[in-house]
Amino acid sequence: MCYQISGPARFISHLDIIRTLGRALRRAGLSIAYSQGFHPLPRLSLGPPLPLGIESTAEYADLVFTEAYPGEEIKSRLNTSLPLGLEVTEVKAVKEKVRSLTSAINQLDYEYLIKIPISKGSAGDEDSLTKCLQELWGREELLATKMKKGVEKVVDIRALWKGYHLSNVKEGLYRLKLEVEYGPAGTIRPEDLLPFLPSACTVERIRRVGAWIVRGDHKKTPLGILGT
Amino acid sequence: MTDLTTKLYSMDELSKEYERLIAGVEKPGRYCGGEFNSVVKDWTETSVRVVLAFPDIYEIGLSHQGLRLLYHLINQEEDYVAERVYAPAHDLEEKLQSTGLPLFSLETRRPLSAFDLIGFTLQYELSYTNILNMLKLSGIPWRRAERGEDHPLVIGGGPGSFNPEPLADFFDLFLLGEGEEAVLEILALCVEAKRKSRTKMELKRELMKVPGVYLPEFYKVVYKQDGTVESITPLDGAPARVEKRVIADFNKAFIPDTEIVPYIETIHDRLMLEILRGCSRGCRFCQAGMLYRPVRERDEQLIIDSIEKILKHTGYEEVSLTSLSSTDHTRIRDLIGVLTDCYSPQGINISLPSMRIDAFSPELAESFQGGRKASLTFAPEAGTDRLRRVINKNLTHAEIIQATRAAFEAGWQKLKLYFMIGLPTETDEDLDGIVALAREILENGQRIHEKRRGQVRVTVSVSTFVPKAHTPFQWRPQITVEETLEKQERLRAGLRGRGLQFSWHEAKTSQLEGVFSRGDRRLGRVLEQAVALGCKFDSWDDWFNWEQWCAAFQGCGIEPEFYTARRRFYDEVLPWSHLSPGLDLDYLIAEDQRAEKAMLTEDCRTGKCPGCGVCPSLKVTPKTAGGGVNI
Repeated sequence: MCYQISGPARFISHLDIIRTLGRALRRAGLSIAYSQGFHPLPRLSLGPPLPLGIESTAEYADLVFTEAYPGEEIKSRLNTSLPLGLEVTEVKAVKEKVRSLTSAINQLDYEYLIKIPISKGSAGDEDSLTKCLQELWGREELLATKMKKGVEKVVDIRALWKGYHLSNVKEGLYRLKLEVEYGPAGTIRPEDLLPFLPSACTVERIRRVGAWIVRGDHKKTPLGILGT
Repeated sequence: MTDLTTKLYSMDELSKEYERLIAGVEKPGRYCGGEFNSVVKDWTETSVRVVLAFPDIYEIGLSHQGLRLLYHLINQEEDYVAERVYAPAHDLEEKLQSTGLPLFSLETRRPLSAFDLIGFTLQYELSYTNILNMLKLSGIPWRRAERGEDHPLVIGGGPGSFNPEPLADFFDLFLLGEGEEAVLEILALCVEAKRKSRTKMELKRELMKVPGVYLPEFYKVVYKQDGTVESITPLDGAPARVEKRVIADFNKAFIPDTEIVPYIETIHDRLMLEILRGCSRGCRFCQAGMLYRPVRERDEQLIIDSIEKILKHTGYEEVSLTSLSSTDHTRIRDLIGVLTDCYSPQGINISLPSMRIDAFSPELAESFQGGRKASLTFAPEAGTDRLRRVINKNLTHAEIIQATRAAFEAGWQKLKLYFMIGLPTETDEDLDGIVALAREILENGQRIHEKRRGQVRVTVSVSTFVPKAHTPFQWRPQITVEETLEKQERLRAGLRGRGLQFSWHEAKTSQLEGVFSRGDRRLGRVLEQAVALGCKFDSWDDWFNWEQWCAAFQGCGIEPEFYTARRRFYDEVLPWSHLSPGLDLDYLIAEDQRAEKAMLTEDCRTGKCPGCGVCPSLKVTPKTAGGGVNI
């Protein structure tokens, strides 16, 4: 299924989302399957973890039920049971086993809403963002400082950067779409880019807007790949 | 008093500012609100607004049953609003201070000063600095005398309200006892006061008539030269003695249909249903056992139906049947059987918060742990049979050995034993008894788990006994920091070795708890100074700062030992003499004297009334759910 995260729910960590979904399923009376063993857990797995504080329109989860429900029913029953900020947008019921979301998804898209103060009629500031991105895209390497287990680590993120698209929303407001790789080689977290942007920019909002399974020239969403 | 530079914001701007603050802290989930089943109301359609405040962090505060209950009780009335606030952790506090923004409620992010009432729960003495700090962060003067007509009424409830004297200068009123009925009576008077444009003082005079309500400003306390209380005089028609509220028919008491389901994990992240109230065991050290008499059990069917309803609304995967001593419920075995049969197949666990040693059964314990065998905790409380008789814990060495043996035989390898040190009449023999008991249990475990001896572990967890108001030990001295350290050292030395673990409570923390649990009004100034010096979260070892506290005591010319180390006289006017949980003073004295002689007093469930006085004075009777036990 595909779901969205917004509002207060963006402050819930990955593990807490799993618990929250598990409880919503119980409230909805949907019979989810349980794992075997001493400590049975609902068979519910999520796609790539979403960084805390970021909203998303493209979260995916695989769920295994013990009963065959139509996708629409799961969606409507679950939506009445979810807390504020979590909403299921699409459910596809399949019979066969699927590859895990975290290994299948290999591209993530983020959308930044960037504000640039318009200073005294000069178009310089607005241009600076365009130029800055062009310059960054042209570089061979981009060194970002990441925190890994409490230790600072410098990583080259250029190879993980797949593309971008900048569009003007209105005067002084830009929408930047960033396409990044997700996989064994790592990924770019949305905040990794922030130090590289011109200082005049303020980022109003970041959202995850896409999670893709890219194979050669084919690019599909995790639900799209399932067919009909 | 407050150095808060309150800027003027519109609600919209404020909300954006808060959004930014929340996004910048370590755990935004503590402050973002919006949890499933939380209630957000339109203020324009209500007349009285309450913010329920827990003076500790969210994860602890949201787990508290009492406030959860009151939250839904108040919100189910159309005319009232109840929102929540918890103590901000250090990072948010810093941000509030640097931005000058006031502390806010979770539901509508309004500053606390926008409410009509702030209701603090007084669960433990070491949270008192947080109360003052929360008021300070709200820009509300913490002294009652400095608050004006427009400031909220600050009210308190919970066990702390049975000796709230250290907080007497800060609160407008305290509610003694059970709140389900009284809170609604208080709110009704607030509505009326608003409608009739009554002043705060006029409202207080009305509130004075509500049974269980204690308004500290209407009592004049005079001290003797030696620091003890000379007299407590009621003023302006205040009752000489405020008696606690008690729900006569617990089966009719409010049970919410629903519970707030948090996004982030809290310490008790499960459905908690109270199956009985009060405890008749009569352990002489236990304040809760004394304060919440008599025993009233809920009917089995009511419990089962309520659980079904709440589970449907929450989706919890665990249900805890709570009370002071849940295995005492006369129908407990049937109840657990029915619930387990019904919910186990759905992956829902049934558990109890604790299990008495003499009620231990490996089968039950296993079902509570969901088939796993994590560590098990037992509470012998004291190291010898004699000392257990002193505290009226009717439990023998043989019973302890039998239960722990059964646990090992059923497959458990890790046991935790909980004891207190510093109990009245304690000698080295009793301490050595703790060591001997732990060693005997360990050896039994190693013998039973012959092939995995190395994995057997016995943890001895020791806390320092703090005498509490309204218990038979309220006149007894508490052991000093030095004595505590000596006793801990003796245990530590005795408990060295493979398979044994020793954990203890910080000696100084217990001293501070002791000061405030039997404190008087003069401690209000100490509390203020301590907060000014930066004391907060005193129950957290990382934050507790004894040096600052010593400076605060010194600055006020008050010796903490006066409250802890002194043996009080039976005829002394205790600072809480005018506040009553319904117990006869003669009963408490008799129990203290029986303790001296290590004599047990029977549980009133056996039919022998120990004469505590609660039933006649509060016109209530104990009630069990059946099962042949005669009261």
